[in-house]
Amino acid sequence: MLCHGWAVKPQINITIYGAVQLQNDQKTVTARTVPVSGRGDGGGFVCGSHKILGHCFYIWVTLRFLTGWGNVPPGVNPEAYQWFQTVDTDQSGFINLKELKQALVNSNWSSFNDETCLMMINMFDQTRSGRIDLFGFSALWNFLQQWRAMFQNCDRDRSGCISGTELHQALAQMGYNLSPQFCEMLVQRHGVRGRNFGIQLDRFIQVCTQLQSMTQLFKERDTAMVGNIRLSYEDFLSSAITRLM
Amino acid sequence: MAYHSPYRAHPQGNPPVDQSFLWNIFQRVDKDRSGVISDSELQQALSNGTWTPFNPVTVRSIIAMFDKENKGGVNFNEFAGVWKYITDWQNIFRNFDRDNSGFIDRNELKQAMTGFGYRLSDQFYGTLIEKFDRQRKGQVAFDDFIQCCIVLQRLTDVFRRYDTDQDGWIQVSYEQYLSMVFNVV
Repeated sequence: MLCHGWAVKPQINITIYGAVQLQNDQKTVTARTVPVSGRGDGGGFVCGSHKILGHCFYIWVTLRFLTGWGNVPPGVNPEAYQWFQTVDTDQSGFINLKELKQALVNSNWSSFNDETCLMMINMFDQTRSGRIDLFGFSALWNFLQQWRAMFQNCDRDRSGCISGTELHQALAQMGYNLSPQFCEMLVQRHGVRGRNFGIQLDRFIQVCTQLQSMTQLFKERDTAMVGNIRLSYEDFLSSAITRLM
Repeated sequence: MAYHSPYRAHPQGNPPVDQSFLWNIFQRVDKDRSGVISDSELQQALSNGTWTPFNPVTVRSIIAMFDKENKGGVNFNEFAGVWKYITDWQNIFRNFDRDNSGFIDRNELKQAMTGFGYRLSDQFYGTLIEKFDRQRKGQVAFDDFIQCCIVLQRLTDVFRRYDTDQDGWIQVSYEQYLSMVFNVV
């Protein structure tokens, strides 16, 4: 899954484990292996006389992870509940921008970009505090799963990124009537240079979410369905600002 | 016209900064001694005066503005521009943040924007505060203020390109509308 999606970024001492396994058989790295081992850096708080205590804590966390033990509140996805504990590194009960950014990686191992993380926090921040609580995170979890599946589906040549042609096909499938040139423009703007040029998962989520929101706005204004809308200056500003950030 | 002469170029008026002073700062900010200041190096060096990390999106916008070769950072020559840009914004911000709280409220924001030439409704300033107030205080911090001005300026520029008869109204197709917004945000 790491190859074509997102994952919780593994901590230092297990990166090698994850990477080796990734090379051997990309499909056997499951969502669970990484965060379970990720707790291995529990050594951070294991020091002196607390060593045994820390060790017990590590085993407890691992056990809880493997068994799903813990009180999952109603309405929260159990898997999301487990991830939440791992991502919430300062144990504050909230996920902030930094924690979210550290947790999410693209298929080329780059962190998710700030804009996408900020956008997702704004979308799922039910407390209006600039952070996400467990319930918001559960909704975000489902959101990410859906987009990851969509991304894998669109990435027909399995290159780990979406090219202009792939994006055009994908958007047409989702019901958008956009020209190949427009899709190419999006890829040029948001693409990352690497072995293959294209959009990574973070930008894919950002672009598709924005597209959804802008299209909805356009449809609301284009009541006669003529394909044109008339906007005043301030209307244009507020539509762009409220919808996009 | 609502947007006849909104704020355009960088704020003017500060005397040029001494080169050796700048070089000193550049070396301190360029932690990995690469000769180029990256997004994260600049972000660590900047303070918004409220003990919270500087808005990474603002940092990215500023770097992109001065990074001519698209190298993901600024060299010493370009850094001079960045330095001037930020200190000029700082002076403007201080003028409006009369109580030195590090934040400006809705009225102060309106005063600032009106000073730049924008003519916008009170309701719109409410929207701006809501969107750019990252710390959820009902006020805008320095870094978010810069970001707010950058976004407004870019949106105004793209609107003006389509408003050929300059009457404050545009008529656009679906794809035109999408590319207008995608090119800015």
